[in-house]
Amino acid sequence: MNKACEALRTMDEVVERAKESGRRDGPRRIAVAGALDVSLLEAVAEAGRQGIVEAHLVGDRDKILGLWEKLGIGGEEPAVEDVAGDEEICHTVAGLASEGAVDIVMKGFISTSLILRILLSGEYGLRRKRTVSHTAVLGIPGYHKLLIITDGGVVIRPDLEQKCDIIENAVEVSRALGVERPKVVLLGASEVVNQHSGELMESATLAKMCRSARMEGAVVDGPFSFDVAVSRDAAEFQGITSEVAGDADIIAVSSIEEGNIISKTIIEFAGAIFGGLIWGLRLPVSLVSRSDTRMNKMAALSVAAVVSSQLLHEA
Amino acid sequence: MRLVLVAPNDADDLEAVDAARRLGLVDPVLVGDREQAEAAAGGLGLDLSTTELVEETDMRSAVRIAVELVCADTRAILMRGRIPVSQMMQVVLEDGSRLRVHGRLLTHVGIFQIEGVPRLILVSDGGMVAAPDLGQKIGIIENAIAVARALGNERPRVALLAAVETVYPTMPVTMEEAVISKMGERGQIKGAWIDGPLSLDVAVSEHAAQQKGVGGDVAGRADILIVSQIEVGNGMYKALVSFAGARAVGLVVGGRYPIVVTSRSDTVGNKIDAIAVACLLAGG
Repeated sequence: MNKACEALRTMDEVVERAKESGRRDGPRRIAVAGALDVSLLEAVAEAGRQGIVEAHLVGDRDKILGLWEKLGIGGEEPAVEDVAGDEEICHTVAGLASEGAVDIVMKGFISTSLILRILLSGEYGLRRKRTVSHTAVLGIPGYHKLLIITDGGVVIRPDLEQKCDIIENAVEVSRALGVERPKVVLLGASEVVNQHSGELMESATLAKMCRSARMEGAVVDGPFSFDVAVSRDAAEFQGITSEVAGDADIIAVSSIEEGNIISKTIIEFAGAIFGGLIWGLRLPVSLVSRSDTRMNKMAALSVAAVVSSQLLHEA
Repeated sequence: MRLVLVAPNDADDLEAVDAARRLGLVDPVLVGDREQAEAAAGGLGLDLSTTELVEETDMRSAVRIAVELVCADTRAILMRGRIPVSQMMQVVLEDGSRLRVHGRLLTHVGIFQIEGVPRLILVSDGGMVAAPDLGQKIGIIENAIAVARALGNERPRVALLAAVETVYPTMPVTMEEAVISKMGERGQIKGAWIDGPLSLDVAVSEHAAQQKGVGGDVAGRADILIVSQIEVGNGMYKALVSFAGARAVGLVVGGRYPIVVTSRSDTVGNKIDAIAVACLLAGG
């Protein structure tokens, strides 16, 4: 994916960018699977009012409209495809995506593994790459740019090949967010490659592998520990000279727990705004959790919209 | 309280130890290269002439001497200066090391004071045991519980962290944590409430626990966060310090005496905190 614009540095800038794209290209059409949640509907309605998305809600029509009514969201009544049952909802959404009737799929409160299994099944032709992965885009007060942590949501324990795919996916998302040459850190607990640690050995191997043509347009280095990844001072203190150290756009981890727990630590304790995205299919899948704040849900929608409009311009 | 600082050639370490001495917390002895120690102290205008110093330029021998000095006392603290953790721990963990207690694991505990969180949060293990098996994980939990209790938390709440709060056969971590939860329930691990798998947000935020409908004694109120890979604990430690402005202390516990293992990102203040916490653990 090509660099889209000036690099977006904060989540506010991502939301602004999503609005601009909406004005230029029209709102992104989004299929929402499992829309039965107050703050999810509020976020969708707000993104709708801002011209970022146009929602196609899929689920129990009466219940969804009842909730919409109760929220007093007002405006035009949303389009709801009346479908019962989680599996059926996912098939309907996958069908809409397959026909090109929507630009983004949003996972509401439906099992991630269920919706991914259906979206990836051969009949819909939505699979684009071998590995589909989760990127957490974080706007962190005190960091000078957006930070992507991957994969803390889909691939449980990636092997080397999958890790390459995960990095490639994150690089595409980062470029869609305007980063010309994303800097990728392979996270470790230490900078010293230790033959007794499989993780550190793997990071060292990956760093070499990623200098291949496949990763053109990105710069990958590691293993580095978290502070070296995000702080120039820490990197200097350790005597590390790498253009990636202290200036990471992407942090790649080696297990779902590592990505998930570190991202959530930053969200819970450092007040980061977070937008989750599943990438690697033909269209972005926006992912929210029940406990995400409205701002986080809005961020997730905006990240997906920016990625989607970038796809449009490359088509 | 005796404090033995090994490899005393870092100015911040010396400043912290001196401050702790002036606070009446510790009676320090330094083990290492005198010339380097004096050079570091000189930069601070600190006079080491009245401080006990055992000259030893070979680092392995210096650690051995430090361990002996610590173990000669009934209450004491070992502190790491500028020597790689791995090098120091190799010596500490040697067979016959007097610092070890039979049947107990040496583990790393991070202790955090985070703005807006009305309690201390402990994270383990982000520094010692790389990929703990079930038995080691229990050792990690028991050590962390002991630390929380030494800090006055009679019955800490322990969250076993994962990416989700449900058990999936495809995620081995969640199964192991389910087993440990059951062991806690049956009183096989004492002195704490234990639950897992829990995701980080559900563990620490009552709002998230409520939203996701997770009940129990731990969700939303965890004091101790247990991780299953060193990378996770290490990343959390550094993320909390880098982005959440947390006051952090790192200690190695489970031995006869606590070991202060400060991180390079720690300030002098952090190091004084670490010495103070170690004093509490050592029974000061």
